[in-house]
Amino acid sequence: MDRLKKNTKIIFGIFCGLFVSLIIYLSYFTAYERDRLIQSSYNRRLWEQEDKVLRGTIYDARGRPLADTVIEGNVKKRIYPGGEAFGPLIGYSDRRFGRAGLEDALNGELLGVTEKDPMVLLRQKILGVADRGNDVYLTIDSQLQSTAYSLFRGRRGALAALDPNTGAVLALVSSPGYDASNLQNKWDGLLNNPDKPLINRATQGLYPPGSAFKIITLAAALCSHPEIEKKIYYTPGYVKINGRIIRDYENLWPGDYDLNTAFRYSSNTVFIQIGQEAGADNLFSMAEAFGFNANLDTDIPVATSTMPRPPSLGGDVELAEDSIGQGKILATPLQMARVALVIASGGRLVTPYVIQKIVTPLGLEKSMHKAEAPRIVLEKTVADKIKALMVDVVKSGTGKPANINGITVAGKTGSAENPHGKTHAWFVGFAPAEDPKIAVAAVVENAGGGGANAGPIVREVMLKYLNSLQNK
Amino acid sequence: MYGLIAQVGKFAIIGIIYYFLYNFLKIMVVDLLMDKQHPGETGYCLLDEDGREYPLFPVNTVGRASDSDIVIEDPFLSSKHALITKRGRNMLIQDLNSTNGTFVNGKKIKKPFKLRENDEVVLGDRKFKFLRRENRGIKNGGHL
Amino acid sequence: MELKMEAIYNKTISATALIGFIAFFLLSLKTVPFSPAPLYGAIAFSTIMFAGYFLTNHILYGQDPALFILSSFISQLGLIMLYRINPAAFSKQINWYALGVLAYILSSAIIKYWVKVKINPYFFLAATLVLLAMPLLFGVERGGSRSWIQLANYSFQPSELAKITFVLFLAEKLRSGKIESILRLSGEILAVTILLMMARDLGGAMLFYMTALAIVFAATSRMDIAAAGLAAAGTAAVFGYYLFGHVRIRVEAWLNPWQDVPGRGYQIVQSLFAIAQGGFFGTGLGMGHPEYIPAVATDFIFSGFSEEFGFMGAAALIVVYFLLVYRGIKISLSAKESFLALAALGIATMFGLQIFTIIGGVIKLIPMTGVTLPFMSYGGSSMVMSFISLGILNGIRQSGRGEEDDG
Repeated sequence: MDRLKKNTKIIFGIFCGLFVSLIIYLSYFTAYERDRLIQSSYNRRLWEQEDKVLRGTIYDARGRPLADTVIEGNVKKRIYPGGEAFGPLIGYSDRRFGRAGLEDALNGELLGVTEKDPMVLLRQKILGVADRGNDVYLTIDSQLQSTAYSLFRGRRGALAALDPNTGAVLALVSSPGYDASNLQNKWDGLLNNPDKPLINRATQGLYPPGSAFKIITLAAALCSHPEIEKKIYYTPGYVKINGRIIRDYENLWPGDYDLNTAFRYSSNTVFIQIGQEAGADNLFSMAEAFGFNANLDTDIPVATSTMPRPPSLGGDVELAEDSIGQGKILATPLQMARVALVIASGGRLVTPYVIQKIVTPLGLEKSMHKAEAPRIVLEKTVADKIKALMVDVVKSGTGKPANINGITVAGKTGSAENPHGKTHAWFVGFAPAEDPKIAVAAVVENAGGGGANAGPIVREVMLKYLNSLQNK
Repeated sequence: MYGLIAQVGKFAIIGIIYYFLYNFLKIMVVDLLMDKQHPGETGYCLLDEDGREYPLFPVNTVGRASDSDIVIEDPFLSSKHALITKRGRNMLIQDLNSTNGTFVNGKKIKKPFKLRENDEVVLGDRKFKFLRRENRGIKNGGHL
Repeated sequence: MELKMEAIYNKTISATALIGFIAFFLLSLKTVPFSPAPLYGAIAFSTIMFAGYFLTNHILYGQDPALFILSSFISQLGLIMLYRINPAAFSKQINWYALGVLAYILSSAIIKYWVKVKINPYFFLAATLVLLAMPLLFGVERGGSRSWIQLANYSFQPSELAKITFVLFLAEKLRSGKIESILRLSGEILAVTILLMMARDLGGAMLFYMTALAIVFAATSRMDIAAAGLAAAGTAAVFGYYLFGHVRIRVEAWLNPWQDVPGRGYQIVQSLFAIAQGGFFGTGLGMGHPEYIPAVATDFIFSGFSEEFGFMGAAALIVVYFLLVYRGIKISLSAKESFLALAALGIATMFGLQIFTIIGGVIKLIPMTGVTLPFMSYGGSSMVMSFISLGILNGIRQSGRGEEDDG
């Protein structure tokens, strides 16, 4: 009997464990798995909520509505006052076509289903605001966004503008865009349009960065071999690596180049030599320091910009192509704006964000932006050297079209070769160079040279923003 | 409107559910306390007027003599005053020919007497209460 | 019964009745226009419960009142959810509850005297095998498993009764604490398990098997048998996964329900949505969407309850179930004789495992198997048989305490 009782107690102990595990798992589920499930598009409760709730409004940084719900008769209708310039960014929310863009990413907030505090829910019920979603304020300047969009004149391309001090996204343009109001009338056209307006090119478009990537090559070389600053490189106008010939642009003459001149006129052949000096490992780790190969965890989904690790041995061709931003490197415009941001801020990398604040129906504000300490990825002295070279690019080099009278603009052009025709035109830069207020990256697909095609767009965007700062 | 009432009702129901659980946990604590009793203890005790508790074993002698199981310093008690024994699940008390006698509920006992809960036992001029220990726990249950 | 304890038990049963009145009043309010019908339900339930409580206290000496209170508490939560889901199911179930209470009192009274009679264990084994074979021969299929028998308008699940006979068989057979022939014993246990598997009642098979292991281990203290038994179950599970499609489907729905939400993952995903919606405090009675969960009245009633009463309610419910198991184990520990101790342990184990299996299944802690949640799920067999099992526990407790209170 005594042994029987002892065994019974053992079995009881097992039951204690089983029941405790039920409660632990249930608490884990409620605390961590819950949000994802509530917002799952398979959840029929969400549709229910959609009918009951007045979806929150999305505002720009100055309180201008970009997505709003109006009631026509008895039917709730979602309208998008911003028009075409905002389609790919804001997206749409529609029973029939689903959700995209910020309307998708912020769906839980806009419907107000993320609120968990039972006391808040109770207060909302009592105050009669339980059937309202949260309003969202973006960091986007809608006038800047509209101006930038119109500068593309319908060409395929994208632009990302950041505040270099905070990482706040000032404009995120994808062209061609679309007006998400009355989607049912234009859905088929949008879906079948070869220019793919439904895609947000600024965050999802992966382009070879071309010569704009030379900023990173330069950073890698200056960090590992500071002496190259005073070195003179000779180039015959082409290089031959393992049988492959890479040439300079037509307007570059063979001869001697120092670092400054090679960067100013974007000499591929010299930068291949610089890349070789820095070495594959240094180049790769510098690219990762600038944010390549890392998933960008921010308010909106962003494609990861990638640079495959070049082989340490026998990868001469890869290293050469990587040094000038060709080959297998792919970057989103938002990522290239971050590259400009690193130089502008003296070597700091910050996570860009588009949501300024979320306001609940009770008027409580919550910030989505996690205040993170910026990571120092580059010594300030090196960043400042690169900044000086970028200023020269705009003053007297390939970036002249971005020059603004009275304001020092720093920049770098890129003309990325690609299999679809003419080169993609890149311009990456920031202004004013002494105290940067805006960092921009723009790409125009298959437009030709970077300076001539992307430069003017960036110039106008910078000008418009800096003027608006002064008028404020 | 119903939504609001349902919220209030929900908190009320959850509250009562936990009140229910609280009471059961109290019962469980008593159970566990009883399990922790020293082996040999019977689960019964004598409670002195001034609050002292004498746990009862299967055989207990009560008296002034220092080799008694329950030693009570009182001039009115005999050195071997009474005997309390367990029989089956019951406790019996018998007088050991003491000078002043043993009283249960005011009656002087002559032969072994079966004690019931809350019986008042008088030895000499000392009054005791016969209790189950688990119930003592509940009575002072506030601090359980 | 001790006076002070009685006071506490009275408090708990009053709390139970109060919950019922609040909940059914809410359901009355929810009906548009206001209808007192749910309140009648509360009155009916409380009447049965108090009558049962009064009878058990006065007829059955030395009983454990906690068993009745805990089971009535759970039954009431089940009835509230059932009314909310489908009032017609409620009216049937409350009859089953009344019958269950009656069966509880009868079985308690009978067992108390019956325990003194020694019965050949093979009588119980034969009964178990016949009960389990019945649905295979002339049963009907329901919810993927063939474990029901249709009699006129009533359907009955013999495996519920077989749970009791099976436990009694093992307790009787192992009362000496020795195994005469391990081969024979494992053959007998396997025969029972295989019959259940043939009916595709995987949850049931697991339940019977694990309970048998627990009883064998408790009776013989043979750690090696317990380990071998567990290893065999693990091996069988792996083979089952590769050999049987319906096993594989369940396991895959457990590992990754998101792969096929409209298909095999549907049930579990809907259950998880409901629990997620409930959060910490629940949506409130009548404010959730139990109708989105398939089989919410039977297998998934816990999810429906979680949605409306939240984590706080669900955790409390788990604790109440745990208390029920705890009382069972306690009765086993206080039993005077090894047959009674083993029978009580077997019944408590059966309850505990069943509760763990179904709750663990609906919250996706373990693969989902279709067993009922005792006292809560809709269904007469489960309700009445669960009450009979409890009655047996109660009878065992009385037989152990009789001496004290009779004297």
